[in-house]
Amino acid sequence: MAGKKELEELIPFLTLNERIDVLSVALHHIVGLTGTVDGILLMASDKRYIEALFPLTRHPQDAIATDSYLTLVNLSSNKTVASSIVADYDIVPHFLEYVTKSDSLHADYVCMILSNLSRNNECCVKVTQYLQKIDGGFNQIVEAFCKEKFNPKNNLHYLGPFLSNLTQLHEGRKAVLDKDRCIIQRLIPFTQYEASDIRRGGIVATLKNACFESDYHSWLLSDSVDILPRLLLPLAGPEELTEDEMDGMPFDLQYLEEDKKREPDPDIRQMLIEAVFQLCTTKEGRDIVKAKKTYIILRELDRWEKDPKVKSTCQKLISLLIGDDPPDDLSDLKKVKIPEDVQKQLDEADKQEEEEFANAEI
Amino acid sequence: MAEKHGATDLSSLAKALDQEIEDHIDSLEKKPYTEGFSEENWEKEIENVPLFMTKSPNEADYANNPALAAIQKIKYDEDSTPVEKAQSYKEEGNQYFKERDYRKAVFAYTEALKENFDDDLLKVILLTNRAAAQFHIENYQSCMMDVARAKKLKPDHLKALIRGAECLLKLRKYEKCLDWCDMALKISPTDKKLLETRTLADQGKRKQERDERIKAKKMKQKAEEKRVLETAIQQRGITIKNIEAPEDYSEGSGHEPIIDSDGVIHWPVLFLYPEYAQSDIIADFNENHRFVEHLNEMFKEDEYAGWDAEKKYRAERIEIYYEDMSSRKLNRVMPDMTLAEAITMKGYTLHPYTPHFIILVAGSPFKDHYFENFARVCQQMFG
Repeated sequence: MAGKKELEELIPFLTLNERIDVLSVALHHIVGLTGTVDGILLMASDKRYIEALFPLTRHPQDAIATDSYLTLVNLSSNKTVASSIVADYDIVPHFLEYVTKSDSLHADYVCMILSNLSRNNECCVKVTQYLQKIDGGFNQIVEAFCKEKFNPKNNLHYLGPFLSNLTQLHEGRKAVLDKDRCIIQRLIPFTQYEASDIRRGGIVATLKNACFESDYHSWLLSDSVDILPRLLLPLAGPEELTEDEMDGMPFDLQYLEEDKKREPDPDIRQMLIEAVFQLCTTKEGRDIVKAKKTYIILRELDRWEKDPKVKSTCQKLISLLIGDDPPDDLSDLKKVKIPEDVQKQLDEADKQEEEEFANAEI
Repeated sequence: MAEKHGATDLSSLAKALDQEIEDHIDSLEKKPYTEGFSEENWEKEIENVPLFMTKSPNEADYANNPALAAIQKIKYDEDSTPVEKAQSYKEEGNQYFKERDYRKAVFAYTEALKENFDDDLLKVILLTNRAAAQFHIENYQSCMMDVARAKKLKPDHLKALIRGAECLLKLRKYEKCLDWCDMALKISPTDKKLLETRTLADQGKRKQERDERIKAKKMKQKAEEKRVLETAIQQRGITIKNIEAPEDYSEGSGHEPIIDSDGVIHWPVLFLYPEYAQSDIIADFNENHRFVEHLNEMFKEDEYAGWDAEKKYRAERIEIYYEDMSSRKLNRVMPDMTLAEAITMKGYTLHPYTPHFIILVAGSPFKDHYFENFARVCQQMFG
């Protein structure tokens, strides 16, 4: 592998005015290096690389622009680089604007960069601030994400993880949960989006984040959004249910096809159950979740589930749903004060469970 | 070319004309004036004066009211430009719309659109207005055609998009409705009515999809039942008449054979009474049941069918036959036979999918006549 010095020698060639063949070779070398952890670390320490790369993304030669973006995608996965891009340069607004334009050629790379830049909490705060400065910025992102073939040359799947990162923060969740607009209603169908794990996983994480806002539970569960069936449908299988069992169940979950498949990714299944779990932390939410026969779907999932972690979460939710309700003063489970020693025991139990899972996976 | 008159000519002509009028007035019958307003009819008369009309006139009004026709003529003067004409038709349409006379509104907007003008915005407004009128008289297809045309001319005309979304909801085209809602919401993101329409479309779509799943399941189940039934029929060695089997098994008799969970076939059976051109259908004839059981039930003592003029169709006198075309004979089925036995007898061919039997009365002249007739037909057919 090239050493630091040799790598630095490439920097002067990374300019828009350089001969294309020379630039292309230099860049090619750089891209290759960002494929390795060591390579990224090497370049992360020197701002000259990203500074040289920003202008090159606008190179008229498509291959050069592509390689420049690809390098930035890889580099931005590094926390130091991400922090630097967000804090030291004014490029994030440009990225945000770029992905919301339907004719942007390299929008997919920029979606990946934005997803990388917003992963870390501190960076995410800054990206959110940039986004808030753009009029209707958040809604433009949602429009680009939801509208079919918004950008004919890019699929924009990575806006999914970007949205999930944004909703780590209260501001992001508030934007997703705007009751006066049609935002979350457009996002929920993507829990069934088969063509991309990235898009689907991103949206499920976004919804899970949104479900942490207990004040919105009754709205999320009302007809205006009706989030529950969208969370449960990926967990439902082809098992034939009796009419009694289906009575009261949302339409989406009734009479499913014999070849109905469950969400294949255990991490996504886990998030879906956790989202429903969140909806059950308030008494009102719990009552609705129960009334809609969630138990039946989870019962079938439990029979089918092989992943120990998901199975365990599923069983916990089942016991919450079939168990007696806690007394009134404990009806909001999130507000219950847990004594220190009990918390300790719980943490211990969780840790033990984690280890068991780890062993089980081997 | 106009004739030239001298001054004397003119004055004499004027005199002559005056005289003519005088004569005319003198010749009129002298009678009191009664055609004006009276206490009884003043409201009606006032209504006929264009200035005081409270309702828009219709075709008949124009014909009966010269003043109105004159105004109408001025309104649609030949000298007006097409845009001006379209505009006045539009106003007329709007007036009808306000009065909830949607059919006339459609007519007026249609007239406006017939004008040859280039103003796209006016066209879009006219189309959207006509769509609204069509919507109110539930002409949803026509409504949809107009908003689609409007959208083509001006893709961001909010009113057309909203109307289209509402119309698609009525037409139960939910998927499309969601698209139109989203297009409209892009322009007016917080429109309450739109958000509601979208919610309804989403619910409708999901219910519709559920119903389709049920339908598909039922069809599949039905196909499976049909397959089981066909296998069972085959296994019994029943000969099926070589005619095109109906798609729906219940065709003809209104009933279809079913196979129960024990694998027993329940047939619809047709009894024919050729003597009186009558028939009976037994909807559920268990293949293991005997004919006599049904006959006893159908021909109870002292109960006769309305058409049985001679009261001779009694269980104990009835004979059951089927046509055996292979040996060109009428074969008899004994009453203590089961249906399964009967339809697997030599030469029995099943009319798909309802077994037929001919009922005759023992010793009746008609029976002899029927046998003779059958023999004659066979003779003609097969030589």
